[in-house]
Amino acid sequence: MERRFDMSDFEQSLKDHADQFRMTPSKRVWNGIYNNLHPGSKWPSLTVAVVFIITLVTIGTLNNSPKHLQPSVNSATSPVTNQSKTDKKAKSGESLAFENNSRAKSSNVNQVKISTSSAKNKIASTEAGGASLSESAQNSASTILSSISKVSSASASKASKNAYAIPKPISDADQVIEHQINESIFNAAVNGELSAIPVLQQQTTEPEFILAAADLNDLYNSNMLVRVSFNSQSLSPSAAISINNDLWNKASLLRFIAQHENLLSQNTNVKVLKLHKKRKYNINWTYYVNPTISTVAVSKKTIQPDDNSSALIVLSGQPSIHLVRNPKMGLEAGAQMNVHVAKKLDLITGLNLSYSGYNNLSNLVHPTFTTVNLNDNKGGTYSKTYITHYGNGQSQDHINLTNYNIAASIPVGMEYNLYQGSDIKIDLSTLLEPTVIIRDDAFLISSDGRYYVNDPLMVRRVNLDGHFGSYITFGKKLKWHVGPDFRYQLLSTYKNIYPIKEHLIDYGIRIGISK
Amino acid sequence: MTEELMLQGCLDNLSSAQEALYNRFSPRMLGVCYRYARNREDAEDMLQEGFIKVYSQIHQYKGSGALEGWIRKIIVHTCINVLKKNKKFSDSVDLVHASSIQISDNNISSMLQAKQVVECIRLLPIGYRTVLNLYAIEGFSHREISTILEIEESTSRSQYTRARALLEEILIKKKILQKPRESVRMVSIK
Repeated sequence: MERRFDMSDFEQSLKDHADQFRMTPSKRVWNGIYNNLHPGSKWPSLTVAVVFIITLVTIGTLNNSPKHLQPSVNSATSPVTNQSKTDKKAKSGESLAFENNSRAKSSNVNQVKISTSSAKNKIASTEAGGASLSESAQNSASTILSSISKVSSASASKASKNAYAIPKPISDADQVIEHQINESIFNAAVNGELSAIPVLQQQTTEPEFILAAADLNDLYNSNMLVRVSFNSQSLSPSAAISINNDLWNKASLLRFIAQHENLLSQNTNVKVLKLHKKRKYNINWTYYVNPTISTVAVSKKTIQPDDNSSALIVLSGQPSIHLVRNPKMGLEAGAQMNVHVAKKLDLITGLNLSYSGYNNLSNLVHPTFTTVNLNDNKGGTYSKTYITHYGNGQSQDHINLTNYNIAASIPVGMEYNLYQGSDIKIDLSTLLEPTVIIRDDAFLISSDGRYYVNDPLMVRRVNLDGHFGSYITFGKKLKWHVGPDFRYQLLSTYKNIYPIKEHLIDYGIRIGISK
Repeated sequence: MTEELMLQGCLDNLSSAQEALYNRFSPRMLGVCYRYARNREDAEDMLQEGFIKVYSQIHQYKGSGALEGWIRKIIVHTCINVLKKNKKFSDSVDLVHASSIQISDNNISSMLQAKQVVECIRLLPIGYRTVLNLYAIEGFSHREISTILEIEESTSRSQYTRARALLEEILIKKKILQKPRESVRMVSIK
């Protein structure tokens, strides 16, 4: 039963009333206590989180890994295994070479069969199948085998009869010379113009030589690897397997073409297979800091208090409110993830933490009551009374009242590549940032404009920012991103009940690094 | 569940007993935290931290006093410790003047009186409020308060005097407390 507050025994009356007061805690309190007391139950969620993070990192790493593989040292002992690996990679879309016509596919099948049987058996089976080998083809095979054996004399001694070492990459000087010699053939192969190799097309009968490239458009890249495969049943199966299992770089290819130019032009059909380029979403992370200058744009909507409100009298006497707000240094930091979605376009997202705020010029006054008029949800107004000792004065003994917020956001937007040079590129980015205010403090101007009152609860907890920036990227191993950055708070800092609308504006210079 | 069973269960780290203890005492303890905290979220954080301490120190409860009193003591000390971590609190508890308080004019009549009184206490500046809570409601002496809050005993006294005066003013404004009538001297007119 409620008792009236008794002034004669203030403390006892206060205690009685306070002790009667109860509140129901939210569910999260018990969850927090329970998790603390029984940490074992955290493991499932932690495990899921860790697995999720590892999965993301793995996917990111795979997507960022270079397209090429190192040229494998010719395996003398397990050509079958190598072939199987290559086939598996081809199935998983990671292969450097795969073929887009049915004939080529059937050729691959033949190669697998070859690798699983001995050379003699294969030749025998070929003959049994009725395929008659031309004399020139047999000569070609022997010439190729002898050439390869010469090049890899050192490795050949270690190699088994089923394997031959690939030619080692040649020196730069050799590359230049050989490139001059074989430029026409190589370029034709690179461009995938079969008709540019008329000599090679003359002989359509077997044996057939297949030149496959991982990505023909990238052949000029020094890291580019190509795979050369023999599909010929006339060649020694062991040689075919050996070459087919190895990934050759450009230099090795040039050398090979140089050695077998005549042979290929006379006896073989060279087929350049244009490969499908599998679309990969390259993900790139940038870590950045962004020192900012924070300022504020303020607009005030007219508020119509009730006629009998004392605030009206005060407001009528104060037609304009003069406020002094000084900018303040802020800081942003975060990680940005770029997902390459088009030639010049990246989808960007990430995680951003920011501190921004500004100073209100104020002065200390004796504690006094003041009122802030607020809008209610029904279109009306009501007033809230505060006791404060902060005046809206700009006297010499002023103090600064800092309005600030610390926010976390997950920006989502696009980045457009404006310019791409050899060493430098320029990007434009635009973002929308849903933000959650983690911590804040707010001093509001009273309705009469004479005082500041402290009421952080008036700050909107979730907001939306618009972000625009232009960044110059430079550097080789470690890329630097530097550029101006602009952020505008799209929703008012305060809840809708507060009639004054305030939008934070940050100007900054973003400095970021990425690999 | 009886108090003994709850205690034994808590000693055995049984979650059912811990939850029963929490369900029994948490509403009142949250009310205590709410008087010290800046807002409900802070109060819940204090309550959570306090109850974790309760469970971790439950073996120290000897049964000499009421369990509620023992829990309340831990909760209050937790609240004070949380407040003391905040530099603003350390400053304000020593300051003579109030920082700023807010009194909402709406819906007063619909509130229960206990809640009204607590809400009025919460309108006080944090320094005033803490001293008032400790002295008038928890029953600590000014000497104990000076030790807990690491302030001078005289500061505690003056803070309490000002807190009480301001609270009276607020209670009067909220119409919970009536203004004491001034004595009227009858003067005869000749």
